Amino acid sequence: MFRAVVRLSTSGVRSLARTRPCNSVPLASRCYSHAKVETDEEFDARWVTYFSKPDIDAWELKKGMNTLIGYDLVPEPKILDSALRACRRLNDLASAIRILEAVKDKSGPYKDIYPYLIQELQPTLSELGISTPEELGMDKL
Amino acid sequence: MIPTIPAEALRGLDSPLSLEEQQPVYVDQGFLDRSPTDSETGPTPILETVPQHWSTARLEHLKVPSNVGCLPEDHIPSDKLLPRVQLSCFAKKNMLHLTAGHVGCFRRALVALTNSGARMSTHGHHEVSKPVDMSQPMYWDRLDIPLPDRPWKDVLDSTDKSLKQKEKGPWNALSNEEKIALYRLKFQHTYPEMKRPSAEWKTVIGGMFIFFGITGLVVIWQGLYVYPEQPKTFGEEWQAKQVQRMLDMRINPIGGFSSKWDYEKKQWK
Repeated sequence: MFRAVVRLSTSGVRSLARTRPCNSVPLASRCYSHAKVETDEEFDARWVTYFSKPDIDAWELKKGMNTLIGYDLVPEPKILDSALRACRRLNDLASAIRILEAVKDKSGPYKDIYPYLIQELQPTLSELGISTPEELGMDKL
Repeated sequence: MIPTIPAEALRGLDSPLSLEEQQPVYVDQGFLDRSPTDSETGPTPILETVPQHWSTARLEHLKVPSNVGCLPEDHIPSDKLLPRVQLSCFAKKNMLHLTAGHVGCFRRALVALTNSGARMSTHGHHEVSKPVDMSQPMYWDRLDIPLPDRPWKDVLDSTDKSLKQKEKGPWNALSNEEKIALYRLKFQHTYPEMKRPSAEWKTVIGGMFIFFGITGLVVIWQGLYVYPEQPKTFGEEWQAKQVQRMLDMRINPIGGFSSKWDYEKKQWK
């Protein structure tokens, strides 16, 4: 849903990345590759599955989170929920709080994304006992 | 002695087995560890076994001591090292070192890199700069890398360890202070701290103006002491005489210089 904001650029980048070089291209048309573009739901499902691995290890969590934050999007609440549960399996509260900080930073100038995420994640946060950075006073210098 | 092919090696040529079925036989005649003055008592084979593959051959005689290639100080026993904080043993053993003193901007990474990062920051910079082991995972605070390769504080004392034990239980049981402490164990800066504004721009602008000022002083001094006298043709009187001469010569009378002068009224048009 949040990727609607940057969908054009995302899809543009994706298709450009997979474009094969076309030498004689008329100016008006674009050379899209014939590879299937992943839908938002497939993307979300893939990441939820990644973090839902029961025996996920710390490296995989790190790699997954760093990659996910590297994308030009704010992850859906269900992906974050899966990631926070992975932190719980790894007994890593600090990383869980760090993930919340990271998605707040990812939202950039769109200040209403983060409150929405917290609202959606509130059941998980209460269940697992994860405090938000705001509750701990860590959102201020 | 002229080397001859030993009979064992020629064995296979008349064998009823096919070439694939025959085992290759290597009989080392010990040429490599015999000097020419050795008495001719026959070959002293080293490896009278099935030949070894190069990847699995026993090469004890070729093994290099593990500290070869490290800095010379690695050969010094640790108690005789210069009075400085001891590196952990695995940092010493690793081959890859970076002398942080040469790389000024890595001084912060140097502080961050050593194992008990939080403790190192309290040590002053009066010690000999220690080599930073770049082959180990580094801690780095980055907005786009939320989970660095390594926790901030690796070396945990007993209170930290007990806190870590408590972390394995339900997190609802942790107090806010404990949660903050767990965060600080793993990370150096929070996101707001990473994004804190610095006063660097003042240094930059100030430095710019200082350089402008110095340049201005240099230019003024140059004008006073370096440039030679202005030619006399620049003087007011000379210029006036020059203009009069040009008008008398009727320079560009149609559309140019003299056309702008009214010769009757003796003034500029």
